Amino acid sequence: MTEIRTIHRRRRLALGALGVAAAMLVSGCNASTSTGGAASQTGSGSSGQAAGSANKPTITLVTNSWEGSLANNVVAQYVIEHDLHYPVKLIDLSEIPAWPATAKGQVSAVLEEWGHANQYQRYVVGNHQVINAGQEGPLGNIGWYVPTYLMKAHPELATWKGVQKDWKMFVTPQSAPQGQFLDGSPSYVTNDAALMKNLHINMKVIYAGSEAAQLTEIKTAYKQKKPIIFYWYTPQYENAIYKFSQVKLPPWTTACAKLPAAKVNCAYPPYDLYKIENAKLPSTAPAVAAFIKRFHWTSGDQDQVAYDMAVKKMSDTAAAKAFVSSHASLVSSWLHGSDTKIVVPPPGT
Amino acid sequence: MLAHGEIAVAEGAVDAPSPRAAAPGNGPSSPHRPAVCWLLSAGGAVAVVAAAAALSGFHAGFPARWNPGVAGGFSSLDNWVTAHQQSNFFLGTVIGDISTVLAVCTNGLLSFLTWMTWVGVLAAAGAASWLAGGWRTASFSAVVVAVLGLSGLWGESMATLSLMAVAIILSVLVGLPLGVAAAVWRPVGQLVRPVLDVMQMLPSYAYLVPVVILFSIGNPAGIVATFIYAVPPIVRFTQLGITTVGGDVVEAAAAFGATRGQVLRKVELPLALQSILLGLNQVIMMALSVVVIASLVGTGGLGDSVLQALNVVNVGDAFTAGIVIVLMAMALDRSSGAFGGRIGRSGRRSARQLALLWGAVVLVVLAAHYGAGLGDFPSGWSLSVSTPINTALSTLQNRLYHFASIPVVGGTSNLSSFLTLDVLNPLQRVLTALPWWVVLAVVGGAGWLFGGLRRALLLGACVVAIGLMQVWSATTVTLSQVVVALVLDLLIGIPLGIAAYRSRAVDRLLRPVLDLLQTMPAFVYLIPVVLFFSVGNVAGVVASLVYALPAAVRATTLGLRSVPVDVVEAGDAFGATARQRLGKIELPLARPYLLLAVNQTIMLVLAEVIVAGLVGAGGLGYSVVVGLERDQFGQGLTAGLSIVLLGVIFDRLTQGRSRAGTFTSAT
Amino acid sequence: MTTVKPDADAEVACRGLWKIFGDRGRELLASGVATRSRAELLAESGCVVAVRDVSFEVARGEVFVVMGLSGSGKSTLIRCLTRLVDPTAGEVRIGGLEVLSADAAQLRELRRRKVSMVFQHFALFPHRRVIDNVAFGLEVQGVGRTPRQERAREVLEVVGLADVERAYPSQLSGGMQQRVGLARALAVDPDVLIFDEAFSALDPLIRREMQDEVIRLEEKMHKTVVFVSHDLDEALKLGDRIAIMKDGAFVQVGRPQEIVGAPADDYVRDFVRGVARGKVLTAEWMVLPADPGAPTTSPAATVTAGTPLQGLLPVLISTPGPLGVVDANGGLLGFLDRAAVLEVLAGNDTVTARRPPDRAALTPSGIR
Repeated sequence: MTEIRTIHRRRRLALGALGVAAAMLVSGCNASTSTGGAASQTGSGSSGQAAGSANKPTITLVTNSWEGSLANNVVAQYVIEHDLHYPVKLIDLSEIPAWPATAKGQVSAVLEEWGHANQYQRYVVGNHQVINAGQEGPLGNIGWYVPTYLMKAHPELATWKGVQKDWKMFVTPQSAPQGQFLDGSPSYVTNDAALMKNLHINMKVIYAGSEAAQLTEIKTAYKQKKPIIFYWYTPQYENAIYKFSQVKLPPWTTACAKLPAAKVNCAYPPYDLYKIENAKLPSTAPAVAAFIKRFHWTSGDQDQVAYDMAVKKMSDTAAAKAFVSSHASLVSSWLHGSDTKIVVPPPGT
Repeated sequence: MLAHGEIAVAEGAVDAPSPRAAAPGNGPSSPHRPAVCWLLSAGGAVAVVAAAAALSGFHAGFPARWNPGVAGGFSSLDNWVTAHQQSNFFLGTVIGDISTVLAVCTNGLLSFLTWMTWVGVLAAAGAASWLAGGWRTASFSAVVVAVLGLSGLWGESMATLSLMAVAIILSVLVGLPLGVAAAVWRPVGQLVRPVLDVMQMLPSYAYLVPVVILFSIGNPAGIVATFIYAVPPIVRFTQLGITTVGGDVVEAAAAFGATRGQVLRKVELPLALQSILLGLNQVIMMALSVVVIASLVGTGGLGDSVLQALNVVNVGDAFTAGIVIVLMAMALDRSSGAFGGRIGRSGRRSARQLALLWGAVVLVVLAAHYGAGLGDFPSGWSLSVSTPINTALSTLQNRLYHFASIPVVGGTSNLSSFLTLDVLNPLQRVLTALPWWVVLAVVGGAGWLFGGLRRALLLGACVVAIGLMQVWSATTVTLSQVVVALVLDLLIGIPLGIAAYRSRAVDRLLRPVLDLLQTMPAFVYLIPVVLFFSVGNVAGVVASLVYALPAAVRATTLGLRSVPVDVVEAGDAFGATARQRLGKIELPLARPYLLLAVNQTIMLVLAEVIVAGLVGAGGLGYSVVVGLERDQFGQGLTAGLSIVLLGVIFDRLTQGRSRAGTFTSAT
Repeated sequence: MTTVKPDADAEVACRGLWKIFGDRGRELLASGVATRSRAELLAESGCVVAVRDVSFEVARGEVFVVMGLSGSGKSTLIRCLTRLVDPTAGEVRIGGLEVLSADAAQLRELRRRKVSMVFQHFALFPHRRVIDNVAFGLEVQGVGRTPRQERAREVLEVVGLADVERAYPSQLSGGMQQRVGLARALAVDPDVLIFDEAFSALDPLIRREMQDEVIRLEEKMHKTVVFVSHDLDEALKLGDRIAIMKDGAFVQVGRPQEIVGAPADDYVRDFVRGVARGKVLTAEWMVLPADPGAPTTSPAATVTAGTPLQGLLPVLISTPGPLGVVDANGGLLGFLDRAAVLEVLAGNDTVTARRPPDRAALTPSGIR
């Protein structure tokens, strides 16, 4: 019962704030900054926060399909609403559509970007409709993982050479006669197929097509303690539930980064996750624009909030509140500190 | 609720000139110089294939060097739109204004629903469905409204409801005049039909990015995406309704000196009303089937709940939201269906009754809002089925997944291995190994056989287009899955359809299950499918199979029911056993419907290709998803268009067969 | 109520047959309320009494016509005979088989070999060629392809359709289609043929042709025929005996002359009003036995018993005294009174009161 209410409450909060947007629209305000979303004027949900936000634009943050992205947003929403008194709404959107939406101002900011060098080129470098809001904090670590029980049983899997040797254990009907390597969401650009070829590993990459499908498959194997090897990344709250161990690939080098995609033979680059915001945000909501440029935390922080919501079934607000009240100095640095350092997505990501 | 079936019947009726015209050798010019003509065209066809073979050689698939750069072209179009979106008057101002209007309408409606309070919504829904269909319909709607609240998804439901309402109204506003135009001016009709085909068959995934770029994110983009998918039925049914008005009635009106406009307004439109309402009913069902897709562009609502649940792999939550979508669809379907059924029958309520009823509703709303100070459905009153569903599913997986858990077949994992290793992979290997011109010859030949030269040319062009878009191998992967899903669907669906025809009890039992399968967003069973069948092509086949099964079952039952009773009785009178009756009379006579079952099943399986792509089945579905997720618009669109082309090929093959195969023209 | 003599020779016998449509049929019958009028019952229970306590027998080789307006229950009645519709109560015996207690296999055998049906709207199988339609009965019996097609060809020859065996039904005219229907029924060489308004969907000309065809076949094959019709002329033309049905019950059963000459009630009288009595009634119908007491005067002229009244007119005009009526062998049956003939032709059916007493037994007016 609780999880449904959780979603419900999360909605109510977001929706309540959005009600203001709806009212503005009806009264003829500029639609381009405040359209869309599920608006609902809840009687009680957000009256406290809305008190000081009479003439302030709604801040729209994009939640991507992973729970960490939601963790960023609920905490940011809590702070923006309570300390900066702007109404906030969260919308669920795929990563790519989020870019044009941010460019047009329909989205105020995205707090976690993994790569997306093409979009960066088009909207940040190209037409200046989006600005780089600096480093988010967590280092995205993409790579090959196996469940820890498997790593214990087969210590040689610590490096790719072990995989090269043990490929038979990963054979499935889908990949037969080769071993199966499980890739996830199509939104992640992966080098796995090239790696198999260039590292001479007799495995076939099976694209799960969605992260939900990939996770389901991993969980099924995990339940039965079966061998499985897959593309995975941190930060990821599931890592708090399931024990995965990383398989070492040949180290990433700048030389390797320059290779064409089909020739890649090294590990994934470390992703310095970064934030983006609409270019007009500093003028329409200066306090929020500044906050976003200062927002910075660790993957541990993020995992904790995500875990609270997804596993402990805490409501979004409760999880955010718990985090904010136990990290006062951190939050203060977001409000009064300095901008985070600018990081640029490496090409090909 | 045989949504798609009815559409196809309608389509056939609209453009079928006569059963004979589609039969081979019966083309307009054939009676006088058939033999020579036939020989020449046959020779020509062989020459074309031989030339194609000589040009590309005996290599598997389609030559990669024949690449006109379709995908690249689409992508640059996308880039151009992005670049000029602000400066171009049409792209910027006109579309911007449309977006604004759509957003204002949706948000206004949602605010109004919220203002009405949940009690008010309950009262209004009850009153409206009572007017449409009486007490049964009204109580069903009321129960549904209550469930919306109890599920804990009240806000989401209202958001979805307002979005759907605006999308449906938009569809009617555009679709109705278009349907009239298509009926009145033949060229418009001819132009509109393929466009509607593409709108209905092209996966929304393939055009979500440009829709987002052009229209504002959130509701406007969601409405436009829904509109594109949902508008075809109302155009088709309006056209159908008007074109099937009896010539004698129109003649009578003309005899009294009515002008063309008067005939349209006073005779044709009123007589077509029933058909138009059927179209509206279809629009509603189609719109509700893309709720989740609309949420991909940030519309929120129930679709969002499904997506959020998927993100954290919580089937129970996804299922809860899915059920709410299904119930909402069923309530709207029943009310609109009942309303359509009432047209032309007596029993209209008097103006006084209406005033009283709506007056009462307004009073309830005012009392609830101002008097009781109610708002959204109380969140304390929720009933969660999420945890039991998750537990049940987990238990089921433990029971069914392992081998030896089911007699003979083994567990679902064995079944999955068998299908992959012994069915799908070999089939795919064969299809992949075929040179493209062999496929051209087979498809073109079949088209010729079933529909004459014109059809052969059309289908041949489709094959070549798929090749030129450079998605040949993905298409063969998808094709193998479509074929297997089709065969399995028929193997399961036809016996079920027969059982439902034979036994009322089975029919009654099956009906809600089929309704559920047909309206449940496929995203909901994405995880269960993987739970039981593992990531891969079998999961894709099963997902499509589940979605398309209702069409196969329903068309079979419908076909058997359509067999004239006197013919069946004649069989009985001569002492045929039940089996003899089925095999010698009922099934042969239901053949047009069985072909419809094949046709519809393929169309629905193709509609599910995207979901197949989401569970690791690869193929065109995966390419379309990648197109959206990685900003490869051109690749996504070409894959999407290939799905459309596959659809056209299958559709024309199965439709043509059923027409040419009517008994009159068989000599 | 049943006064039918048990007839060992009866091919089809039916006793106290009831059919009540609706869930509560049996219940109604048991409670005895079923005797109330149809309309009342429908209003009260939602049940429709289609067949109400019907009894009759059809002798071997006899043509028995069931006549009635649409909705009178005649189609249901004949469907009860082979249980295409299951009767609510009663007895049916066909060729010695108690049909209502027969098991599925016996019933199938009955339908396959003993009784064949010709349907109102032909009910041909549209997906089968003419020859396969005709062979259908044999096919379900399990007869092999060659023999059954041979047999079908023979029958098609009989009905004059040998040249269209490869055609599909929809390519034939209505009359030809019904010939196929007839051939299909004949192909299994049944003892009993049931015609369900078989010719009512045909044009008048074709209909007459088909009736003649039935008469011709009947003369050749002597099948037992139960023929349902709503066309009185057809009934009179074909029927050895006719049953008039109204609201599910038989109102009158008798030979054509009896129906026309002595209607049992106003309903029947209304029915036969338009009939050319002079064509239906014969001299035999009007004959008065020679008074045993009176002196035997030899009549001025004699006519044979089977002469229709219309045919008598010229003789009556030229002959002032009573006419003698003789049977086929020339034996004198009795006399004909000129005035009585005129009265009958004028439509006065009270004259039938003078019909000979032994004929009275032939009018089973008791069967109701």
